[in-house]
Amino acid sequence: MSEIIGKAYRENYEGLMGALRNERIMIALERARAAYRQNLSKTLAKYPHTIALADEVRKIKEHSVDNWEGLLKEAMDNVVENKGQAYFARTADEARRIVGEIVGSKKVLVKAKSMTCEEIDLRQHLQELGNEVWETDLGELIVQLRGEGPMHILSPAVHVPKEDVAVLFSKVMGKEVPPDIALEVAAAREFLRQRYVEADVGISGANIVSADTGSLFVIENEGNARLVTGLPPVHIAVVGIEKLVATLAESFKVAEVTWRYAQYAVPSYLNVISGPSKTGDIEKTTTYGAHGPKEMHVVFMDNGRSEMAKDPVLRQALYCLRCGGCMYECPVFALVGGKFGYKYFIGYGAAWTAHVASLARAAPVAYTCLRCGRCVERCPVKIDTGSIIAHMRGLLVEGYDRFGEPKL
Amino acid sequence: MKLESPYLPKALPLIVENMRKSGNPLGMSGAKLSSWANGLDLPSKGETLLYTSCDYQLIPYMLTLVDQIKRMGPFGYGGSALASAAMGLRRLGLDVTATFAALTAKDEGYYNSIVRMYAEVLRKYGVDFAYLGEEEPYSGALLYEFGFAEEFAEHAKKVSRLFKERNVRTVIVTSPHALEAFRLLYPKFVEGFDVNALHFTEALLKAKQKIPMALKEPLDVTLHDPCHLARTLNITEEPREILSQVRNLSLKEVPYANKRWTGCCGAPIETLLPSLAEPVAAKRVEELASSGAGTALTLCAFCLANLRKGASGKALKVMDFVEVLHQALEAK
Repeated sequence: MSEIIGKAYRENYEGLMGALRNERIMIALERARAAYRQNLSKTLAKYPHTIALADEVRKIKEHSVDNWEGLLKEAMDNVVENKGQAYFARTADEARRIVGEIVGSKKVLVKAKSMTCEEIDLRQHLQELGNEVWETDLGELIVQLRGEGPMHILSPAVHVPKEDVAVLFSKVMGKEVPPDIALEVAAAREFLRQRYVEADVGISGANIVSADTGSLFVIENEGNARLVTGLPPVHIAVVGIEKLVATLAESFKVAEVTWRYAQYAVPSYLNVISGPSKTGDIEKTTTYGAHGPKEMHVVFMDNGRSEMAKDPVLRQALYCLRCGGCMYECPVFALVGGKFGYKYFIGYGAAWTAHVASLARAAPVAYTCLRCGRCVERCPVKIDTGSIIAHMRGLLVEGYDRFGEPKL
Repeated sequence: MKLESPYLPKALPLIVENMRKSGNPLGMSGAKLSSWANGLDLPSKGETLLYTSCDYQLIPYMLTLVDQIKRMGPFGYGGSALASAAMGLRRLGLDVTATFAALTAKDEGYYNSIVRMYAEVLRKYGVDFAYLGEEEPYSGALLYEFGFAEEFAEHAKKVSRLFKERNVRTVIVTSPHALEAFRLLYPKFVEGFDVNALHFTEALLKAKQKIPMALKEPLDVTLHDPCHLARTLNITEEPREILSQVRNLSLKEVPYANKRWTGCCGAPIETLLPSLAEPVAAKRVEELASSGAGTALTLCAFCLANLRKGASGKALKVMDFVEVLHQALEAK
């Protein structure tokens, strides 16, 4: 028994047990699950074509993962043609270094929610470089202020009731914020407004990138992502290579299925960003940085994804749209939330954990999954957790480690 | 040796080593596992077998094993004293007699009686079947479940050879996990595997004989669909059709979480993470109770054991599907 692997198991276990002791998590998740199921069935009834569209999206994702290298080249070329800057980071370290060099230090940054940034601890890295970084998604802000990790990919603070938010906001904002959701939202809005204006850089991820136009799709409801990507003079997007699809038309299909299974009929905002802000209104001379950012940087990141793409079983995990629907169906997630996972959540997430973090971190997750399969029923692109877990356990039995010595 | 893989939970080798030594996860003797059939005079030869996969028979011993594992700490990763105790256990192999000495005969009697009922109900339906008795092999499902695909393949080949030697054409299976193995995994791992595997409920519906069934007293039940039976094998309507033939019985569905949307009982992690399996079972018991029925039926030994644990001290009664059928056939 390696000490490192033992530590991964122990920490995972402590996380699970800690969450089990916190009854609020279970209560909050139960409410969220009931609301999710009700909203989804309503929205699928209104837009029944979504189910067939999801099958089509599965094929789009299969094809995109098969051809990621070609799509990456095309997307990077198009970003540059649109006067943005494109980078390719093979590892998390490289991605952090690239972003760190663009940002520098002593800057104010505003950030939209991004699992990819979370994956590489980008916020912490930029803070260590001497920058002030603000999460702007309300849930993510709450989690940041509490010094925790997200509990759900779409609702990071799903486990925090309004009473706790009130105490937290009152402390941080230096004024009394009552436990009233509308007033809490207003307080966050007021608090962040100044940060957007001051910010030197806005950081986001993207839900989809269409290679043929080099466009980033960012789906959101709060409006924070449009401010993050639109107000500061510099916009940096960090995007996993699995987000690439061939065309703009395909991107809209992926987008619609993503938000629908995230329980929205239609989201408030779909941001499609294809380059820095520009104008040609004076003498037809194109000038960059009109009202939006003058610079746009897109960092495409591999960080284990291309290895995952080579595995005939685990590659399915790359098709994930991050709609979050599966999590509401997982019986373990219902009890412990984001403690069932490491960086990525629930059973199929073990494939992600193994590639973006380590096999040691993935091991306890793989042996915690019930393989009950209800997540598969929900998944719009039918990611088969049962086969992923069987395969992951097979790798663990072999003691096979594609990543060298056991590490955390 | 693969059991030495540093990535495995320490509790796992106990089970896998037993599989290797004796062909079943707990290293039990065939005589013990087939004792439920004593006195039934089941033929040992025939083209159609009742196949139990030893699931129900193993349950009482599994429960004792879980207590052992609990003492070893989470995932079998406890403090250093516990870890060395686990290592000691492993070096010795699992001493079945000593480990299971504390077992109460009551539990064993209950789970054995369930298997007996499966056989008796099939008989009443006029289904001809044989039972391999002491020689009945375990399906190997757990090996596959835990990631030992190669060992599973070897085991499956042995089982397949035995079936061939005995001219077995059809197996009537009571275990969803074994049925999944025969239908979906054996064909992948064993070349030319062509034994026809039927679920118990499918066999009843195919039986020529139709017997009126009635309960003495009206009973409201809900059905806990085992995950693998419902989602992997798509067997959800068969048990409901059979229940609909029982007079005085009314089926109340769990809102939402039924059929393909059924909820897990927690049993799959019972051996590795009992402290998480228990609250999963408790949640499922709550869901089952929300159907309004006082009794929940299930068709899987592991679901039965874990839900009974989850329901202890609660109003909901958890029974095996076959218990109600057996009653309904007796009452007539």
